[in-house]
This record gives sequence, C-alpha cells and structure tokens, in this order.
Amino acid sequence: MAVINFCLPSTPYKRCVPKPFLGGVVSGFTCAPPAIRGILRPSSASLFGIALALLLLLTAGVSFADDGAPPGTIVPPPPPPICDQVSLAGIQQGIYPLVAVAAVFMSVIIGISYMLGSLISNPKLTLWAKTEIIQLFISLASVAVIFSGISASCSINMVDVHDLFGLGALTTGQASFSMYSAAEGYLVDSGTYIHMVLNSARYHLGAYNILETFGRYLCMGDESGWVSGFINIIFCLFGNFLSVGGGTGTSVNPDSGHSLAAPALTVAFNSLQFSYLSALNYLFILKYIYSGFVLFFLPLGIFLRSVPYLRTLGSLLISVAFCFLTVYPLVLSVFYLDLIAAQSVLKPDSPALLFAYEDVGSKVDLGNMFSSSIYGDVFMGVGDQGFEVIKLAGNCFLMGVFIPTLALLSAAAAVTYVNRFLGEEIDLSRIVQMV
Amino acid sequence: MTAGPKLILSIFCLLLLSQLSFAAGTWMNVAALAVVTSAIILAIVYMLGVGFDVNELKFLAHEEVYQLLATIIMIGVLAGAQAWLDSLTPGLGLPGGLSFQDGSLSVLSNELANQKNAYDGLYDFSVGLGKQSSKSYYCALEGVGFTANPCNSLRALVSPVSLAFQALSLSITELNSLTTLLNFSKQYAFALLLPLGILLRTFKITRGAGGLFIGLGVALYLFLPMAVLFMNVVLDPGNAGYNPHFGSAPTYGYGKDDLTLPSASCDETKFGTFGGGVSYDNLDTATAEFNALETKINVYVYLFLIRGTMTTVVGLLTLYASLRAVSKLAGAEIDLSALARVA
Repeated sequence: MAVINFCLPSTPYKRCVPKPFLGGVVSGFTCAPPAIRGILRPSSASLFGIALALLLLLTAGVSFADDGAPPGTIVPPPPPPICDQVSLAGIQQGIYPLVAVAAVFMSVIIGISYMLGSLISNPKLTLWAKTEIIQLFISLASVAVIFSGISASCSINMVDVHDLFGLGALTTGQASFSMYSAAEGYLVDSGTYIHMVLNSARYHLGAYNILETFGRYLCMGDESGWVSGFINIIFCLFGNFLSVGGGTGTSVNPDSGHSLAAPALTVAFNSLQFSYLSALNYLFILKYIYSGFVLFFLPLGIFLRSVPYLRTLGSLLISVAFCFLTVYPLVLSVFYLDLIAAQSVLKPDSPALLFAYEDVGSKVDLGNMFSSSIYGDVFMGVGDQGFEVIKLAGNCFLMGVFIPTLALLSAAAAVTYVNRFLGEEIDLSRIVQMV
Repeated sequence: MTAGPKLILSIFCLLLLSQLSFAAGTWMNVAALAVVTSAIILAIVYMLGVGFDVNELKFLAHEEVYQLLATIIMIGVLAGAQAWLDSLTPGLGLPGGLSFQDGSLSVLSNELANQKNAYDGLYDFSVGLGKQSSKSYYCALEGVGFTANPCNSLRALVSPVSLAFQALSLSITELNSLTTLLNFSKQYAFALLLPLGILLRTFKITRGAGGLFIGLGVALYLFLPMAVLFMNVVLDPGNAGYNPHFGSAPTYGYGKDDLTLPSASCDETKFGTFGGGVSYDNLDTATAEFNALETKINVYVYLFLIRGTMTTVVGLLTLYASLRAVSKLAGAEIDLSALARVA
C-alpha cells in the first residue's frame, strides 16, 4: 500500500502513517466499487434510475486505494466516472435521445406556429417561429459544446499544463492526470493535511491537560533530581510514622503553566475544524457536480431550453452545469499544482506534523513518579510546537476555506457570462451571498 | 474599420509587444500564444460569417476583435507595470536591495519572528506563573491539619494571559496566511495565474474565469506586497505614523529581551508570621511583577493588534478591492463580498 508522504523526503520529520480519511486511507482515490459503477452507467434515460444512481453514489461516498506506487509519491485520484469512455458514452446515449425528442417536439411546435402564422397572415407568429428555429439550433449546438468541454476537461493533462508554464519539480509518481482528478486531488489532499494539523493541535491540547494535572508532594527536600524525588517519596510514605516529616510539606503542579497556552491552541483548533469541515463540504459538492450535474441538471436543462417559455430555466440549468463542470474544477486543479510541487507553498513541512498521529495518553507512565517534570516525555524531546500549529492553521484556512470559496465564486461568476451567451440574463448576487 | 484590418492591427500590436517578452519571462510567451490562437479562431469565425453570409457571426467577430485588442493592451500594461515595479524596488530602501516581492516577504518574516519572540516570552512567563500559583503548603498530624495556598493570588493573571494568547494566536495565524499568500503569489501569480487568465480570457465562453485569474494574478503579485510594504513604512518608528506614546521607540525587530516578561515568584511558606500576623512578602513580589508587566503590555498590544492584525486586514482589503477592480477591468464582475466575509 502506498503512502502519501506529507513530509518531504529530505526532512527529518518523516513520520507518515496511513490513516483513515472518509472511510479509507489517505493514499488516493479509487472509483466506487464495480457494482456501483455499473449502476452509474445509465442504459436508459429513466430519471428514477438516474436519481437512484446518484443516491447510491453519494451513499458510497469516497473510497481510497492505490495502485502500488512507491512511498514518497502522491497518487492523484483516478478520473471521475464521467471521464470513463464507457460511462460518457452511456451518458450521451441517455441524453442524445432526450435532446432528439426535445428537438422534434420543438420543431413540430415551430412548424405549426409558422403554418398558422402564414395561414392567418399573422407576422407575430411567423417571426416567433423564425426566432425559435435559431434558438433550437443554439440548443443543439450547446449540447455539442458542453460535451466537448467535458471531454476536454477529461483529456487535459495537468502535468502538461505544469510543464507548459515552466513550474518546478513535481512529487507525483503519475505521468498524467486529468483536470477532474486534480480538482478532486486538491480537496482530498487539503482535507488530509488539515486533518494532520488538527491531530497535532489535539495532541497539544491533550498534552496541556496532562501537564496541568501532574502534581508533586514535596515532603522533604527540593523538587528536582532523582535522589531528591526518591527521598521525598520515602518521607511522604513513612515520615508520619517515623515522626520526621510527612505531615508537613509543599504541593506543587510543576508543569501546570504550560496549560496556560491552551487558549492559543483552542483558537487554532476551532479554525482548523472549520477548515477541515469546509474542505469536506467542497469535496462533496465536487462529487455531486461530477455525478448529479451531468446526470440530472444537464439533460433537464437541455430539454427545458427547447421548450417555449421554459427557456430561462433551461438556460440557467445548462449554464450552472457547464460552469460547475469546467470552471470550479479548473480553479481547484490549478491550485493542486502547488500541492504536488516538490516545495509546496500551501502545504509546508513542519515539525508540528511529528505529533499528527501520536497518542498523547501513552507518554506518561509509572516511571514518571520520580520526575520533577514530564514536559520532555510528553513532547517527545522536541518541545512544544504550539507556535508551528498556530502558523499552519493559517495555511489550512487558505487551503480549506479561502481557495475553494474562490473557486465556487468564480464558477458562480462564470454562470452569468455563459447564461448571457445563451441569451438570458440572470442575477446571482443573492445566491452568491449564501456562500 | 472592418474586422480584417483590426485583426492585422492586433497582430501588429502583438509583434510590438513581443520584444517585451524577454523582460517579462515565460508568461508573455504564453500570453502571446493565447492571443495568436484567439486571432486564428476569430479569423475562422469571420470567414465563416462572410462565406455563409451570417450576420451574427460577422458581428461576433467584430465584437471579439475589440476584446482581443483589449487583451493585448492589458498585456502591455502589465508588462510595463511589472518592469516599473522592479525598477522601483531598489528605491524602497529594503535590506539588501530586495525585490518587491522579497521585500514584503522579508517584512512579514520579521513580523513573524517578533511574534515568535512574543509567544516564547508569554509562554515562559506562563510556565513560571502556573507553577508558582499552584504551590500550596500543608500541615497535618494524625489526620488533622490545614492547607494554605498563599500563591493562589497569582491566578489573577491567568485571565489576561489567556486573552493575550488568544490575541497572539489570531495574529500569528493571520500573518502566516498573508505570508503564504505572498509566497504563492511570488511563485505562481505571474508564472501561472496571469498567463492562464489571458489564455481563458481570449475565448468568449471562458472570459469570466479568465478575468478572475488575471485579477487574482495581478492583485496577488502587485497589490498585496504593495499593501504590506505600505503598512511597514507607515508603522516604521522613524516615520510620522508611529505613535510616540510607546515611549522608547521600539526597533524594527523586537528581540527576545524586549519581550521577556518578569518571572513569577512566590514563597509558599510565607503566608503568616509566628506572631499571628500576615506576611506581605508575596504581596510585594506580586505587586512588583504587575508593575513590570505594565511596562511591557504596550509592546505586546502593538505587536498583536497593529503589526499583526491590522497589517493583515489592510493587506486583505487591498487584495479584495484590487481583485474586484482588475477582474472587472478584465471583463469579469465577481461578487467577492462572500469571500471577504469568510476571510
């Protein structure tokens, strides 16, 4: 099983362990199991079947596996089902007859309207028919454009894009991956990285609790050193009986001061949690776009756009489907080029990641009975990395919230332009405010 | 003027700009490629319009030629702006004659170092405070006795320390986000985002996305570092913007000594005298510590709120404002209020 190496191979913080993320391991995506993928191929245009497939896909969630790539490499997720030639052909087989039915239906209405207009010499009707015939051709052309766009997005190799712009070395072990895979890879990689930082923050908060409650009773001597510690224990146990102490002394929590830094980590922890949930949210939106938009919004939009008086709604659905299938993944995939870069800016290496999968509860044992401090044991000799965790929380916010929101807003902005291209004007400002 | 001569004019402008490509690096090559591709597509559209006598296609070609010209002018302006800023940076007095981008990164790096010193200072103080305030004295014989916590009064400092840590945490996170954005812009803004934006802008259907990428590239590469440097100049102790209320003017970087807080100390056995009176030794020590803290608190507040949070707020506001303006100029009107609200 391959492992995503979140720490750069040359750094001393290489403690990378595969951990479950969304029900799998972090090392990449696989498609849903074959049985589910089979359902995803719509052999008929049944809306019920499409809805069922969509539901199953969402329930299946995201699963991960890999193809045996060597450690230190990132394996991007494979292309989504819409890029699978068989599935794409299946979708087209489902949509093309629907488009043909809509076109014939519309042609009949236009023909009747034109004949009626000629018969009663009503220029309004004939003009309407002439306008509609152009719209019919636009609708048919838009189907071709949309599927060309999807095919292009599937075939764009982001490694080639990376090479075209002369960017630095990549860590990916795969020679090619599509724009869709890169977009998905961005969100998965972001989520996994944020999860690691979140774990590190959780470790620190747990450590502060342990440090806070560690107390010592000093019945004799000072609080430092092994010998003093031992003498203290003897006097505490037997001093009362021997009347040489034991009943008098000082109690102290020598490490409790570390816990005063907990509020700083709590702020970072809250921010990290928000970033993590945001990354997951955007990932599910992307998964829905890959399935629901193609299987439901697009055919419905194409059909409705061919029906008189429902053109506005149809255009909107087509624009939304097209933009969210192209612009949203495009923006995410561009940022993915940094995540797989040898020197990632957004996802830097840090000593704080050392604590990502450590168990803070196992760091203190009976052997610490004679210790004057357990700080060194709890923080494994490298010290408190709270400052680093707080710093990384800023990166995680950018990765999990800022960039995906930017991608979503750009897709929403593109909807307006594409809709204008299709001949309709819409105001999405209210919807954008909901983001 | 018909579309044909306009296309020739566009290509001529492009040829004039090509000499800038050596100065501007890779992005100009990609931009030139995008413009040439667009010109070829437009020529085909125009030919189809003429060949089949479709007025809509001819009109589309006419309209798009203007957009192509606008793109070429935009490329020229950006190349000029980049060259101008690069020539301007030596005059900014940045250490070692750093470039515009590196200068702003250096400023933020220093700020983060200051924040690290503040964090360490506060942390060290907290470690001492926690330990000293937890001390208690007990005396028992055969199950009868008492416990006294004479150092517990130091716990009064826990709340302000907690508040300071929260403020510091926000400040560090914000400054590091800004640093990451600047690092990203240095590496990708003109190398990836801008040429990609120009490429997308040349096609009508992706003009919105292209405008966004152009806006993002320009805002990140030019305006964000400008805001950071501007804030640094304003807050520099040698300038008029600096508030003399802070007493002895802090240097550009706060050393660890400037931010080291007095160590908390308490003797748990000094809670009373043998005569039955109250010992004031610990109270005197605590008062001395509070007084010493008061002299440091302004430096901390200045670091957290002005150097950290305010610099970030000004930087992000500049980023959003410039992103919106440049995107609009590039043909994409994006409502960024949601993004501003989230950040």
